Amino acid sequence: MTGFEIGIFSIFAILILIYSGLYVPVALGLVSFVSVWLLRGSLEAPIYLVTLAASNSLEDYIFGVIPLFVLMGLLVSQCELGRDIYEVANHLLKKLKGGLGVATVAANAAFAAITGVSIASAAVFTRVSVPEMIRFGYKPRFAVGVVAGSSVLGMLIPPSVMLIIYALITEQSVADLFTAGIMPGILLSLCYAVAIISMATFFPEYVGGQDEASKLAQEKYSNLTTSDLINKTTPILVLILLVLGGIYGGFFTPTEAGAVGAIGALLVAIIKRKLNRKAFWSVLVETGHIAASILMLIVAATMYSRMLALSGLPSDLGEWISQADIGLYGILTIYVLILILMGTILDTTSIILIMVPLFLPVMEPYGISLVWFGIITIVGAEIGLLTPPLGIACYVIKTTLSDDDRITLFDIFAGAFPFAIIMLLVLILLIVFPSISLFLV
Amino acid sequence: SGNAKATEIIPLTVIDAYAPTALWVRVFMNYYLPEVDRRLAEKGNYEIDWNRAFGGTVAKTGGVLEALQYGLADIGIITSPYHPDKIPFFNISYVTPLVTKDIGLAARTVDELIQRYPQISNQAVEDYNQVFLTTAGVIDTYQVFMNQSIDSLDQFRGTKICGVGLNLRYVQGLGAAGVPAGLGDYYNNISTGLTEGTLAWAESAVAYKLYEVAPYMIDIGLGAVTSKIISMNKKSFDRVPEEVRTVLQEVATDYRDELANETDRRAERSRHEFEEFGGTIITLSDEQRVEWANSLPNMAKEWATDLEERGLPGNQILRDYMDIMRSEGQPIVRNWDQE
Amino acid sequence: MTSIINYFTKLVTGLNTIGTTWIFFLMILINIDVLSRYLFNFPIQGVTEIVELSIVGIVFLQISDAVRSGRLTRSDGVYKQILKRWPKFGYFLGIIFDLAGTLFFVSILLGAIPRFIEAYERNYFAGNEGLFVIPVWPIRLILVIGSIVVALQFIILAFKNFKLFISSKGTT
Ligand code: NA
Ligand code: NA
Repeated sequence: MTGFEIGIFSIFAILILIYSGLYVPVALGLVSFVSVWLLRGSLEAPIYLVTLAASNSLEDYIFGVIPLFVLMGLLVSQCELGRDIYEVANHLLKKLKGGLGVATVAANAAFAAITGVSIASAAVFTRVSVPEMIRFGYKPRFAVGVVAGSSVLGMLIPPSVMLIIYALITEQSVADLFTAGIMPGILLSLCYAVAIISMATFFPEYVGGQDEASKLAQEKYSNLTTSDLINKTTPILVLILLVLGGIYGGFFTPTEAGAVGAIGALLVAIIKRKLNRKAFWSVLVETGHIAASILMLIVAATMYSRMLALSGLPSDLGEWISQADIGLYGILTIYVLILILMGTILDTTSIILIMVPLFLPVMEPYGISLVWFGIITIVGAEIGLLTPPLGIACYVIKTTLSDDDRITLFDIFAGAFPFAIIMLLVLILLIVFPSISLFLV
Repeated sequence: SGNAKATEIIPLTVIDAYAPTALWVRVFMNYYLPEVDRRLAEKGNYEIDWNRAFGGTVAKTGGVLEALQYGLADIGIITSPYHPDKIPFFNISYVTPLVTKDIGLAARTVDELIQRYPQISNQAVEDYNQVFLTTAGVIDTYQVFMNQSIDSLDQFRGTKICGVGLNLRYVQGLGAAGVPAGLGDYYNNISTGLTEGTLAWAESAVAYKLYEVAPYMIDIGLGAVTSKIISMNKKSFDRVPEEVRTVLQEVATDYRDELANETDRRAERSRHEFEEFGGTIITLSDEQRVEWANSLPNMAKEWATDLEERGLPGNQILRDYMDIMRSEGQPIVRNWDQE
Repeated sequence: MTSIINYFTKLVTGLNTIGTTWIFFLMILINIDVLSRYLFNFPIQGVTEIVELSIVGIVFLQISDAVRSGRLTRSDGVYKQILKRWPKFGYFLGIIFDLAGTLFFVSILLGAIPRFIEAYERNYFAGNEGLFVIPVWPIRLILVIGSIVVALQFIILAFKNFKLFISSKGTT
């Protein structure tokens, strides 16, 4: 078997194993093991491939950022800062058509600036805004759809664990990728808002809550005093300043920003009396579980990408594509289709870790900005958060709603569908106009 | 070619943690690989099917040595300062600052010492399962780049200066704090005030636009540093035919000299460019160089002692290195072996 | 058997506790470094090296508990359908998957043991002499221990699936 054949074979093997339910890191690791065994002809090579990936490849200062940002994200959720942002957004936006929906998007966008993980956003806003929307007559399916759709902002607007992972594997600057995520995040939020207002105007039955009685009830609700507004926004602004200001002001490296942000969130939680010792411990344990599973995924993906490099497949693939002469947009079309397809069954981290090493060498000859490519990758892979059968954002919402039988998993996927379509449209805009992502960088 | 003689094809995987944007990788791709191909093609017996895995696709910085050790790849470029615990011998030019600015001479001398002391190669084979083909370097001389003008060495006191590995010790004696950072972070660190300066060399200063944030090149000329080793997995080395082995080794030596020439050409040009782009070169006086040299700990002695503990004649090697530098008439500021 | 599993679970959660505490101290250490750099103009030597080595330690202390709690990433949409329609085959598949997990961590272990011995015997360190030096063998030992424990944890999961396999009614 040639390296090319082994490479191709390994991809199919990995996909079949993952689809049938084998643990993703185990599938990546074992297939890489067998492939390198075949490629190098000795058992020593694959054994050290996996061992070195599990140790050497993790020995990098920047990896410290993952547990720290996860910890910060979980502490921020614990502080109920999500509720505070939502109340402020409601106060400001409730007069709009579909106002509570728009407020959910706005609150998610603001919350995204202090959390790096989308699942945190999904969990927080399921608890905070779904009950409120339903109380004011919004249809449950629409309510959960808005929450699912806007939760993806968590990993697009900086800080973002996904952008950090992409920066790690492509050796791009974390700060540049963070900057590049800002405008696409705002653009996606605006598109969501416009879509919600349009839906409320043209399909009030689908959205719900648009009749006079509901409107009146909303008017009376959530009137905040100026001091309420200040109290509810200050901690968030402080944390944004600390983390993003720290990185852009050059006071901290991203890893340090994670540590400082985590301490900041801890202090806010203590001041707001939202954290006893037991709750703090469970936050730490949860951080450990999330960080360990993300980092183990990175370890396994490192094995797989090193195996690919040894097989020579990416460079062969690059030659093949350049001979096929389908051009940059042709390749990007294929790339996005694969991202969406993989998104049906895989989580965002796995998609990025599997696809980027394969396509990076293919994209390089075109001299494109790898920062822009990163934004495309993340938006494309995040569509998968909303699509069945495996859509993590929808799963988190269902889990969080466990006591509520009125909303089925199908409702959540159906409600999220319009938002997945909007994501795809925004993704096309981002591909056609790279400057949306890059003009701040 | 149209001759009927069968050409045996030998697959070899070459790796580096750095991408072809780095000078030594570029010269490796554009000189070493084609030159090996050319010389083998002349004889027509063998042809190498190179699998190029640069840019950290198989091993990241500091990981090349082990990837070669365990046979993940056949040939690789090791960055020696990452391994003071494994191959400290190769830090010889790091621990003897202010001795030479001739990178070609430094690299040739290190290779000469490897010839003289076969224990070094033997340890590489025994402990790390690999054969060193050559040493090489791209740093003509370390300089300090600062965001403010410096007239006296006292002004370094209390500043923060970034660097990597052993070179952080160069500023210790001046009362500056060394901040470890990678080459790619220097610009950001200085522009944001995390540090006031950095240790770098002219070519990297231009490549990373350091003149924008640290426009004062304090021309101290800390010296040339060899930091690269072209190395080959021992089993792969034994596996390839004698003829191929010889070519791989000969071209490696030529690569070393080619890279040194390219480094010198770029260094000269980079100094001009640094000034053209608005930088200022502040050349220190001989007295200041002596003052700097005397501020340094004798890292060379510590290094020699460490080697002795590992069963290598460290003091003898150090003396040989300095003797060669003296006989070549290098501008030595401090005789590290004679203290 | 149950009591062995209980003791083992205590070990797994114990390792997780160490890893969890480690994350907390990492956060504190980095903050002290940042403060010291800005307040006293004095960066603490060795923080970079400590953070670099810590990540491997944290992951391998916590991975067993993550596996035990079912947190290791998988795509179980199809698998759940299989369990629903053909439970016996599903549990059989579950045994295979868990043993594959054992195999994977054993393959890491096979390289981790000699690398630990090598680092211990030859005194490998991270950092630079004269600045900051830290031995690497303790981290490599954690890698060995973590791999053994997680491999055993997978065997326990396989055993649980095996019991379900035995007790469930066979379907074609
Ligand atoms: Na975010
Ligand atoms: Na999906």
